[in-house]
Amino acid sequence: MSPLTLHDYLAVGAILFGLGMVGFLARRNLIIMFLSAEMMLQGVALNLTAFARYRGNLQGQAFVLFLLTVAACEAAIALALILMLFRRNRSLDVSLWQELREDDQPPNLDEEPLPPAPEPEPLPQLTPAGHEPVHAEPSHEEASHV
Amino acid sequence: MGTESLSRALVEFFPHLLPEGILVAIACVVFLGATTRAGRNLWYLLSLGALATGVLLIIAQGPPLSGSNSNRPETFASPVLFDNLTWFIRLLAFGGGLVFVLFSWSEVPEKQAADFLGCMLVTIAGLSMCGSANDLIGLFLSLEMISIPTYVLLYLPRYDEASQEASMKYFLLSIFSSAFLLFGFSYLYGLAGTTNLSGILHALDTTDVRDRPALASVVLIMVVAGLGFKITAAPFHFYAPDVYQGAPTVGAALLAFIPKAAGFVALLRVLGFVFPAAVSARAGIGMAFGDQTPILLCFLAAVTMFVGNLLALWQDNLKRLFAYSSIAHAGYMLIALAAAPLLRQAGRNEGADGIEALLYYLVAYGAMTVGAFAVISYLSTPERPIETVDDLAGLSRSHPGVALLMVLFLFSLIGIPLTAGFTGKFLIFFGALAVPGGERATLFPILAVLGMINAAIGAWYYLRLVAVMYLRTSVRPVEGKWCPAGLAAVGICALLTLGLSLPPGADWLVQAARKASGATTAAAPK
Amino acid sequence: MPPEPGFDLSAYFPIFLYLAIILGFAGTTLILAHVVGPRRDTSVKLMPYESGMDPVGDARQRFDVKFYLLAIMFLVFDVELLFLYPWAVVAYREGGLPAFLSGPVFWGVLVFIALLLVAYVYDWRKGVFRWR
Repeated sequence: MSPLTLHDYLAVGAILFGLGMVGFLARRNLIIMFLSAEMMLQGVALNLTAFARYRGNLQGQAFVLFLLTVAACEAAIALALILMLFRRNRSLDVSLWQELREDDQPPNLDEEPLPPAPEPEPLPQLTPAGHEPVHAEPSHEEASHV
Repeated sequence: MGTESLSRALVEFFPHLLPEGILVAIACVVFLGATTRAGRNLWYLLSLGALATGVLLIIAQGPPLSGSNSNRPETFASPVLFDNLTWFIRLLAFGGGLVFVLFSWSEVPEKQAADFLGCMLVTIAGLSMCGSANDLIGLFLSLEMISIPTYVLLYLPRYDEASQEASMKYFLLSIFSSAFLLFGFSYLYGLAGTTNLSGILHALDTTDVRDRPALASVVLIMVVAGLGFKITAAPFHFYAPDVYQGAPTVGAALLAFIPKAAGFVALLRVLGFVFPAAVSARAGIGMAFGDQTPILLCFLAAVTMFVGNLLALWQDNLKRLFAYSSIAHAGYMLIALAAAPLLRQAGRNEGADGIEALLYYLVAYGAMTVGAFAVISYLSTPERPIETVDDLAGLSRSHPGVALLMVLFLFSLIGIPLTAGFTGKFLIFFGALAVPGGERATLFPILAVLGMINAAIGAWYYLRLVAVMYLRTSVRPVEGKWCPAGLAAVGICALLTLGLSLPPGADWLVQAARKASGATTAAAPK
Repeated sequence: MPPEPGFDLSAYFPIFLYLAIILGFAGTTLILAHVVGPRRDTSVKLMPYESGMDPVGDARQRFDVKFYLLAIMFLVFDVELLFLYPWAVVAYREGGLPAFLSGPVFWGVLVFIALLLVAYVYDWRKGVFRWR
């Protein structure tokens, strides 16, 4: 088995980047779109680390550190924004947000809307074993003794 | 170059960043102040003071003498570069920041004012840092310093559905585009073996085009795509109208100016249009990635102009109209960028120069577009917002003075003489026509003619606004509000639009832009 | 000292036999029980606690947004720590930082931590940590 070369790493980086791009363009869930964009960034990070190893200096790895920090900041903002959007529409579907568009353009209607979520099955109840004894009314005499 | 010079360069760059440091420190104070009960005026005055101090510091510092500082080998180690372009962009950022602070004074609700202001100061510092970045990491971080607060700025002043949709759209597409930019940067680092921009340009310049791996063209495409989003060049412009429409007016004005300026500066630096004095531009400026660069920029410019101007004709919403107008103006600026390498190769330094025209136009564009947005913001009240073109009807009767200033900005956007827009367009088209003949003899004259056709198309929709303001009467006249800070912002923009077209101002700006373009220090040896 | 007797695998043959029989018996029993035994899955029988308490709700319920806020804060502060590692590793090692650089770098790290502190105070004053 031959050792991994620079090209292998670059290929994986490019594949990650491409998968992220496809995911970003094809998905409609806000969180999945954001995660796809993050995956593109991870592809870039892999490229940088591989090049840093190939070139024998640490600048690429330093770049990755900053890249990760910026990605974390963006994740924080993304979480806040997504929460805000979810509160208004109760959904993460991006196609529900179509208020801003050209005046003469009709809204992009969904031909195959998602099926409604199934009703959750009723939770099981334990069959009580035996019968609960009938509690006798405490009489006045007993109460006074206590 | 040993570690010694590298380390010294690291220590020496700190004092250069004093103005940005002050700005970020004040931003921290403002953020902490946002948690107290103090009113907005305190924080606005504080940041005005910081920005004014910054402007004074920069002016006192003066543009560095050519080749004094940046000619040493430390250029290849230092993460920041302090040359004439840095000085120019710094002044632009801090001056623009003053206008934006005045502009936003009464636009933002009291509760969010300090948070908004803090984010805005960080954005301004980011633009300023962008001009001095000499490292891919620094450049990327300064671009993100502009983007990340902008996401917050877009939805902070308003909590309605449109504003949330706009900020989400901008956010998702912005990280998508910065992924492309970063992918280009990672290959660029792999090609050159360093993240230092001077080192990269040196490495690209000393290897022959034929010896390079095919990655170089991937870098060019990815970087242009990523930065094209920031400057709203044509295939990457689609977000702009929606986002501007949903954003608050001051947010739209910020988006129209700050990312665009930063994107152009980043293009100038990364594609090697402005060389550090320590690097000799053997192949000529802008040719670091091979001589396809001008052709790519040419097509981008032509498509951008047409898309912007033609689609603007159909718009009724004012912010959408100005969004398309800003796309069109990005197209004009791209003409200047495309013509720059061939002009510089011809060695006609005393005549036209592409980068000089680009920098002049950037300032002029900033003054007139921000001015127009400031007028809209000044006239809008919550009871009677100015949203569509018809809302401007009868402005000449209710607010004759403001209407006159709006006409000034619109005339400048058209490019009518005695305005900065005219001088800028003149410099750009004259430059494109002056490109000497060669194998691409017809390309640039055609581009210049296309630009003039577009300026004519643009005149139609700007004049329509003028006609609505002066010839029609409104059922419900514009009320407007009395806001001295907003009026001051409009006034500064109007002064710049007029002053930069007349000889003393125009001469000064052209000289500064010429120095910043590096034409005098790095003339291409033939 | 007498020499070690040589290792003779055949001496352990009964153990292997025993092991095989155990595994075979266990496996056969389990498979037979699965195949032959009657199975009546009722909803009560499939409950997590068959003879315990009634389940109170779905596990995939919504959580309070306060957890979410804390997660956002944690995300940023956690990653900022990344920058302290290179400094901690390099700064005080032999042949790490040049002497004249250690001062500026130390102050730089202090400024960085001060910035984090500003962010912390901002969060605190904004009431992120208030658990109402």
